[in-house]
Amino acid sequence: MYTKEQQRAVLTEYVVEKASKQIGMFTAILVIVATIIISLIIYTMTLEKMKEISIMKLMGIPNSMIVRMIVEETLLLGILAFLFGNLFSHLIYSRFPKRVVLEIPDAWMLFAVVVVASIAASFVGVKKVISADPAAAIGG
Amino acid sequence: MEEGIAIRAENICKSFGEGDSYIEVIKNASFTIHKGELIALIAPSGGGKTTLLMMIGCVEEPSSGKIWLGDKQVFADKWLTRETRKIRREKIGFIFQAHYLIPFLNIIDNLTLLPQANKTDDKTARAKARELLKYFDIAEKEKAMPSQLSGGQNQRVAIARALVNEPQIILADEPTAALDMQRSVDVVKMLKQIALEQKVAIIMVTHDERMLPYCDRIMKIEDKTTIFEEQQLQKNSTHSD
Ligand SMILES: Nc1ncnc2c1ncn2[C@@H]1O[C@H](COP(=O)(O)OP(=O)(O)OP(=O)(O)O)[C@@H](O)[C@H]1O
Ligand SMILES: [Mg+2]
Repeated sequence: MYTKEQQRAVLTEYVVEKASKQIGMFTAILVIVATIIISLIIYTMTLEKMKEISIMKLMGIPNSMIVRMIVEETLLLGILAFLFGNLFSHLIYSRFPKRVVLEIPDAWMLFAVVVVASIAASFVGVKKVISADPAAAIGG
Repeated sequence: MEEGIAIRAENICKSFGEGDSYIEVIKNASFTIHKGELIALIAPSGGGKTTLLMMIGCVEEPSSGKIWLGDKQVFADKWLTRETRKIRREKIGFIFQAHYLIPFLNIIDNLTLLPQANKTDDKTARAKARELLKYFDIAEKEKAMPSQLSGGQNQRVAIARALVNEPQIILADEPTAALDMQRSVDVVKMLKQIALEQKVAIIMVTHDERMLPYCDRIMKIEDKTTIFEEQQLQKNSTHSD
């Protein structure tokens, strides 16, 4: 048997735990979706640059340099998205139906996730670069 | 090996495809090109000019034959190095019909890309790039993007880019095709001057007969093989084959 106090404690814990799990899942899904979107954007941006990439390869620029360009571009995209997202949430969070607390450590955590996710997202672009044909640069 | 030889090819052959789609483009081409020469390469469309250029440039793999660049053999029925890209960035400058500058990099960054790949330090690379831009009379454009320059200016930047790694060989595939007559003559004269001053061997594909008098020798692809056309007009052509 629980005392009243204990019951309350267990119940609040349960509710809080559930809510935080809920939010955690939401965050995870949003990060995954964002990663996919960034991958797709980088993929199309890389496709648009295939000609230049072929030229760079033809000139003798090593893959490592080209790949670095793409990863940098993706990181930039990810960091910009993170900054805008944060700014936006700070602007509107007071209007949320339920009070939310924005904590700095959480933001850093998310930032780390964004960096890792962006690098993962650039993989598709990078794969495309490695397979680019330098001879295709001049054909047509 | 004789001093002053920039490119030597021996019996290079190139075919594409198999079965029904098999075509032979180059057959037993042998030639020697010296440092300081500007060679015009002519052949009808589809004659194999680009293919030949790309084989010399270690981009397209010949089917068979031997190739030397400078005193180093690079091909003997197969590439003699796994890193053909290293040969390209250290020894060869490429110029094309279109300038093919990287559109998201400004002019100076376009020029320092290759030195960067060759691990030249940044200061030296920039100094070299600036010197070239000055030489080509576009020094004030170093911070501009390629899209902000005219066609002629971009082509000059592209030539500067081909020179920035101080190559021994420049391969130019119709570098003047997109330019008007006056600018074409300017570019070809410039190439001749570069060949002489920097002891570079230049092969230039051209369809424009008016450019031929400025070249030292004319190489033709006929019956899938290369031949040199005798040219009497030249005063400073000291080489013969
Ligand atoms: N990758 C390839 N696969 C199959 N055939 C090819 C390939 N590259 C070139 N060819 C063929 O080789 C021949 C020579 O092509 P190449 O591009 O060298 O001609 P070109 O002399 O440069 O012509 P142009 O003056 O039109 O540029 C052509 O018949 C072309 O179809
Ligand atoms: Mg061609």
